[in-house]
Amino acid sequence: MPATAGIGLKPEHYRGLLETTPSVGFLELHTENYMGAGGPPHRYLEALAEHYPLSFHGVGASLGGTSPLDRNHLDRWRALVDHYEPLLVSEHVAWTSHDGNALHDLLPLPYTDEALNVLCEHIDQMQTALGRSILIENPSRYIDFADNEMPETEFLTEAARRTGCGLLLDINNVFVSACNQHEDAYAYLADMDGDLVGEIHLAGHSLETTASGQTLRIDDHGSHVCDEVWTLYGETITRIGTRPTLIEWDTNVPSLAELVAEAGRADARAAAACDSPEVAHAVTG
Amino acid sequence: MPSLAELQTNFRSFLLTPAGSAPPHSLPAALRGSADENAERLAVYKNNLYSTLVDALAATFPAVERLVGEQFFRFAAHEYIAIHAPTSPMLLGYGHKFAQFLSRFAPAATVPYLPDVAELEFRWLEAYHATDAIAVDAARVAARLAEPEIAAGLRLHPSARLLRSRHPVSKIWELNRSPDPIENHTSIAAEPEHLLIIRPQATVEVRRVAPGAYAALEALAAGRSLLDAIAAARRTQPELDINEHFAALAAGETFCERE
Repeated sequence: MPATAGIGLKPEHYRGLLETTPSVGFLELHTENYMGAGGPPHRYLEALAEHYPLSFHGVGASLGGTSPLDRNHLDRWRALVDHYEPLLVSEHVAWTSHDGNALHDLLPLPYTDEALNVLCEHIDQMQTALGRSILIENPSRYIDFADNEMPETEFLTEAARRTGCGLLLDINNVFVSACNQHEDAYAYLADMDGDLVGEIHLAGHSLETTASGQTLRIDDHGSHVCDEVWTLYGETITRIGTRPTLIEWDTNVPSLAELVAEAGRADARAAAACDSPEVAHAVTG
Repeated sequence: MPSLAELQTNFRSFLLTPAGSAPPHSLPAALRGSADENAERLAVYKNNLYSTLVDALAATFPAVERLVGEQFFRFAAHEYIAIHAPTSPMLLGYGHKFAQFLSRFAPAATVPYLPDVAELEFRWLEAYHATDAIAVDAARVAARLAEPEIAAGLRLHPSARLLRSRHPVSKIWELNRSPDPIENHTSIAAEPEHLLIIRPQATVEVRRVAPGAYAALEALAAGRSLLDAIAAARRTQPELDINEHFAALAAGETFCERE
């Protein structure tokens, strides 16, 4: 997998991507959007797979849910992975379904031993179903559970250690959660074992002021990556080296050219971060 | 301390309770921080859920949204979500009961053709995502029609969907599926329609067909033989030139070999 930044695949960019084949490292898609039997989505994806490595990012497996995983859903996942052979496969540290309802939102887990056991059992089940290891992504948080028994970084690291999965480090989510919970994003990233990180996500978010005057950062993937997140990205690359990095832009989707330019900014940031003195120091000694 | 399953049950009932109502007591109690602030924070999850689902419905039913306006559509969508909360992790098929819901939704009763427009839009989506298949060409279909009693069966292309309406639903849909303004003097004859919705290649087509041809397509869709399909066409529309209609349908890649 090239360390060059990739972009999220949007239907409005299918034609533009095929006609201009811009230089991006990979295309990432929401696996659920390609679970239809045939038709244009698969025609385009097959054509694009000739030009770009693919990354399959699931949003509906509900790895953190106490209900059993949906076997049919895992079968559809398996069929897609077998057919397209994506280079990266990922899901979320969240629950999205419960007892027959699919809630279509990445819902938060308390960081307890009980939740860790549920998550690990489901990661194992998904990895077995797909016949490969997956990456799990840190969530954006708006609330915090009173029963938390460990910090999020420990929860994720332990899940990776127990199941052999890797981590998809979403730096925008780290920043959004840290701001919303009045925590330190730098401390969070310093706690993260770089060897476990297989991919990085970058995205934009919005600010909302509530009736009581709280400022909340909302992870809506609807704008440019903000300066603070770019800085955190650079520092992370300096510390752990480059990783396949995705620009996620899912609402107010920009033109293909603007999206590709944002991926170019990620590459430039990563290159600058690799030239920083700290990396040189680490390399020489 | 509630179990994780209890927590998720409480969270789910909070999310699926219509917006604006207070969260059940047990959920804020499970959170760190002030109850008032947490109520606002929990609302972020509920807003995300509803905006995802309303957006998904709006993407599937753009003509319905345009016919009733964004505000009414959002109102109808929220009512639909309250009755038909999603059960599948795929959003692709969400809205399969929206037409049926609209047909019983009293506030929409003044727009009698609305459920049929919704039905057409959902079948369009089904055709779009359906399995690919290779169609048989017109010459082979003609040869089959010449000897229907001995011919191997034909089936409809897997993307084919049928819809019959008392209203000129495809014309209403065509006028309302793009955001371009509609001219004031546009008028549509109030005629019933028989529709074939099909995606033989990359593009979904909505074709108006004769009632007799529609009866034949219905028979094939039900798995019946070519002979039965021809008989159905004759019963429905004795004067119909079946060869001519089948040739036109075959040229549009409507038929496949029966497996």
